Amino acid sequence: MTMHEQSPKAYSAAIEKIEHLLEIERWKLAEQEVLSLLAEGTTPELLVLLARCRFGREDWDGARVEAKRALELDPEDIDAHTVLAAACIQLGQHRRAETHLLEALRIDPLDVRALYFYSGLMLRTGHLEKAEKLVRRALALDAMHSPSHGLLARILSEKKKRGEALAAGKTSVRLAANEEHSHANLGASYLESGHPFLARRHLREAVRLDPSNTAVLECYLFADRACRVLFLPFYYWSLLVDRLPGKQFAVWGGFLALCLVILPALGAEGIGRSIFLVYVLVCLYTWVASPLTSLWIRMRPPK
Amino acid sequence: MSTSDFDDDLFRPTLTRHDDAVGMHRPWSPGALVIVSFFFGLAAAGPLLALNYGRLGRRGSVAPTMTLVILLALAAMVASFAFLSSRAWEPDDDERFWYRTLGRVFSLVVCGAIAWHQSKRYRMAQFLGEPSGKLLKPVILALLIGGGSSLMIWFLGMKYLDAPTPF
Repeated sequence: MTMHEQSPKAYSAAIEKIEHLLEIERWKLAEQEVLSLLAEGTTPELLVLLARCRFGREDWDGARVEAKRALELDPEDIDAHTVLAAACIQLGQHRRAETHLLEALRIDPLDVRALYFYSGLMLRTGHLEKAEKLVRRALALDAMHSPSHGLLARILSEKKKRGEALAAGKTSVRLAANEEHSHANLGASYLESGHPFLARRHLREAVRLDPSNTAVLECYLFADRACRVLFLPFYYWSLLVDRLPGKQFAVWGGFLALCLVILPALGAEGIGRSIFLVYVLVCLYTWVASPLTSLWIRMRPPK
Repeated sequence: MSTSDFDDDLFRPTLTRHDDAVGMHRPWSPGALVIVSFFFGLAAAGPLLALNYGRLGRRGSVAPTMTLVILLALAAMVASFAFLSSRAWEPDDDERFWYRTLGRVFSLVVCGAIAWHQSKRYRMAQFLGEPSGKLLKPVILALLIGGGSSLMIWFLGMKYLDAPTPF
């Protein structure tokens, strides 16, 4: 007889404690608690919690194995499908992740977490339209789900809808001001919409809330780089070029067309030489801006 | 919203085997390789783009792409031999310039198309946190091999087909 059957009250209290430990990211401690409960008997719920502990410790394969064990006991366990899908995403097994998320949504089409993960998977694989529809559906079901607002901000940033992305990011921060993901997503949206100083502020906050997140740390370091005077023009230049169809090739094509076709046709070759000189200077700046800023950062690291 | 909504397009599988991000190892940036093609031509950047498929976890595409870029580079050379041999006079500086520009545009179009095809997987690799591969040494090597073989073919063409040099 398991603890769940012997003393449901004590079991619920233990589960609550584990959930709390997971919330504050004490993965190892939570795992020890789960393992002690598992010693008394196996339930799908405990296996899912163990999978979440392993996932938190970035042991993707371990999380996948435990979630699979949970599904062997209960194939209709939505949480197990979701954790298994999340682990598969981290392992790059996107098709398998999609299968499990679709299974979770077949069991409950209104599961916000499954919709959220599925939307994230679509964003990763570049299916932005579907990603947006899924996350909007998640928000229609739960308008207070702050991770979905943050994810919507990222999707809209990718789709170059920067104004809407900022609005979604701000909503995410308003709903969960103490969550790292809210600040990270808003910071990333600010960074892509040409507000490096605001981006740095939010990304710094995100790093403060979760110093272990290396992706956010890298984003913060880039925002800090963008705020340096030496790098700032390059940052704005990159944003401008990024908006052009064909990106840097549009600049090259435009430059070549101007200097080789348009100006000679107009008989203004003198201006062409000046434009050429300016262009060479811009090129030189773009080549040296990054290494010089790196040097500066080495001398004066970000606070 | 109800369970009847379940059968709409949102809940149909979208991903194919090409969407799996497995077997990726330090892929080169396809955009950077297009820039390499602008400066050093198809013979240098094409093989690197072909090898990049392996780094992006699509080893099956390496050999076909390699064959394609080598054939296209050879075809471009044969076409230019045919064109230059048909001329009764040596090309002047302007003609040489336009000739080189045409070659660059051709390289850009071919390499741009391959890079566009690789960009989705490269993006996935970035999402996975896979670091990009360094390009300096491979580019120098490709330049030596690709550029060297191009020069050799040009030399043979000039010697045996009496084609003028476009350089």
